[in-house]
Amino acid sequence: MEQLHTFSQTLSLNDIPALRKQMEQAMLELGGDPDAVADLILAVNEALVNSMRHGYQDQAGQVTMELWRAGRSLVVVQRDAARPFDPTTAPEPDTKLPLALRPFGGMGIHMMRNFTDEMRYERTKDGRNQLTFVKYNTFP
Amino acid sequence: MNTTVEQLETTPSVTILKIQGDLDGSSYQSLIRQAQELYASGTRHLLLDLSEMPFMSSAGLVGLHTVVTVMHGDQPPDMEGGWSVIHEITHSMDSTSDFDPYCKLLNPQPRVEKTLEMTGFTSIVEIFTDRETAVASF
Repeated sequence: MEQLHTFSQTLSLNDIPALRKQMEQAMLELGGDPDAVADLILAVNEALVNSMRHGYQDQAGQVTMELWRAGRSLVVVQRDAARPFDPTTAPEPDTKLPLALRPFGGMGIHMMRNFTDEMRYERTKDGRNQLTFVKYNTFP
Repeated sequence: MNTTVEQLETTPSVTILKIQGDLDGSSYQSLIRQAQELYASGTRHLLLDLSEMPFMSSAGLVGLHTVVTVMHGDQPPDMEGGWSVIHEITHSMDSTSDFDPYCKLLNPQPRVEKTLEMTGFTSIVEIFTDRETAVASF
C-alpha cells in the first residue's frame, strides 16, 4: 500500500463539514473517480460523526485520517483516542418498514457499510479505535 | 444551508421549499424548524426541492423524516434535547398508504437519490423530476 495523504487534527462536530470537503478535494486531486469518492465521503462523514458523538461524547478529540492506495482501491484509515466504539457490530436497520414504524436515525452505519466495499474495526494496542474503509475501483 | 419558500395558489395549496447546500448534522435542525414554521402558518402540502442540495448525511435523513412527520401535524421532537431525542422518538403516522400524501421530493441529485434508495426512503416519499407533475400530484 502507498500512503497518499494524512489529515490529523483536534476535531469537534462543527469541524466535520470542512474536513469532509478537504478530504473529498484531496481524493479527487489524487485522481479518484468522482462517484467512488462521493460514496467514500458519505461513509467517512458518518464515521466521523460517530467518533465524535459516541466515542468522544460530543467533546473535541484527536482524529487522524489516512488515505492509502492499494492497487485500484482507495483505503481510508480513521483513528481516534476515544472510548471503544465498534460500528461493525451494529445491527442492520430494516429499510422496508413503513415510515410510521421506523425509528428516526440509525442509518449512519448502514450507509457506512453500503457506500464502501470493506469496513473493518480494530482496537489498536495503544488504545485507539481504528476504522478502515476500502473502496474498490476508485483509481483507473 | 439556505432555503427559499414559494407558495403556490393551487388547489390544494402547495408550498415549495428549496434546500440550497448540504443537509447534514450542522443544518438538519434548521430545516425542521422551517417546516414547523410553515406548518404553523398553514402549509399542509410540501414539495421539497432538492435540486441544489449536493450532500445529505444520515442526519439529513433524520431531518427529512422529521419534516414528513411535521407535515402530518405530529408534535415535533424537542430540539433542546438534541440528537438523542430525535433518534428515539416515534410518531403516529398512517402506515397504510404507500407514498406520503403531504410531503414529496423534487429532483434530488443522483448521489442524494442513491442515499434515499439505499435507506428505503424512496418507497415512502414520492420523488418527481417534473415540478408541474409534482404539484399536480397533491
